[in-house]
Amino acid sequence: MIKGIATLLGFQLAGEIAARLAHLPVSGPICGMAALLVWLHVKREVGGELGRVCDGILANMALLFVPVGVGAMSYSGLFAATWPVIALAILAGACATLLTTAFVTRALSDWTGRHATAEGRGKAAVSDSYQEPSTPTNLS
Amino acid sequence: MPLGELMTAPLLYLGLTCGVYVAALEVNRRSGSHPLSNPVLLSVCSLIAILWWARVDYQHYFANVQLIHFLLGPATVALAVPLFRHHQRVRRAALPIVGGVLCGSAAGVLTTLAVCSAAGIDTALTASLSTKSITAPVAMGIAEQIGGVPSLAAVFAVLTGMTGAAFGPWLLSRVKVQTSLERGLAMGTTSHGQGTARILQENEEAGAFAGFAMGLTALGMAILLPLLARLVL
Repeated sequence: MIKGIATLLGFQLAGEIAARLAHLPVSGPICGMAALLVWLHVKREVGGELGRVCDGILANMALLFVPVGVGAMSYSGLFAATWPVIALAILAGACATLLTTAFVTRALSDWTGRHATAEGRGKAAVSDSYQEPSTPTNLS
Repeated sequence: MPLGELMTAPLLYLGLTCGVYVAALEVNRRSGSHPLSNPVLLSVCSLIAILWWARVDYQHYFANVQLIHFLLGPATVALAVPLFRHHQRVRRAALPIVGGVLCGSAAGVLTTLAVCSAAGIDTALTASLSTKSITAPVAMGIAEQIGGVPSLAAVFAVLTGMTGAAFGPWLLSRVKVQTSLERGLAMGTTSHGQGTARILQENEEAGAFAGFAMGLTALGMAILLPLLARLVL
């Protein structure tokens, strides 16, 4: 288990250092995620221990947001004054993002899918024409 | 050790937080995963009630549960694993993924800005709200850069995460969005880590897409939001 944890911390640290040194607009953990992804591609396998640790953390990831969420209590005054706007902004923003993401993804998948099948048909047509010359030999 | 010292030790608050969360998971399971019984929502509300009743201030609580908060970093790194396991599907659908996530983030930000300007909300609050679909640690940095309040941005990010995690799967099913690609991306783009955690329970492939969407949203918004803010805020 400890090897898996050390791997995660190591990549996070590398990500933090890279993000700071290169003044990247992205946070250290996200850089660490990208670095680990590249490393897994190089190794071509996850490895049992790292896999188990990651599955364990990710299965309980929701718990990690609780401490920041409780921070809402420090803004009770602000929430009392503007909660309808905040609630509307959060709900409307979330609906807009959910629906736009899902339907734009679907539209682009359909579009690229059509292109792929059109290409496929093109290739099929070519291979058909290749087979044609062989037909006379079959007949003879 | 006198009993009073327990009040100033992480043990009490870590135990309390984990205990409340486990109880919330149990409530969620028994209610058949009802949207309103979202474990983060239940835990946050219960903990606020307990802390308020016991007159514990938030800074004191947060300092003692740093250990849980710290694990957000390694958990973000860990998202590389489901992503790797499904990388072939991510690569094959690269254009729909990038297009869908960026359009979705933009739609969310524009809707938020429209609501805020219609309600005449001040710039600092608007800026803190505009980063709410970005994972909390990144949202704090961007909010600061565009004139928002980092801690407020973190709270809004978690509130949005909760909202999307609670109602997202239900809404997506209502409009017949069923593939793990579309569901995963929508949840990750809207509700970052919480959406990812929620959709991971549905299936691992959707979780991988959600994790990728979360990273891409953070990256895309880190570049685009400061530019947009210069124009409209």
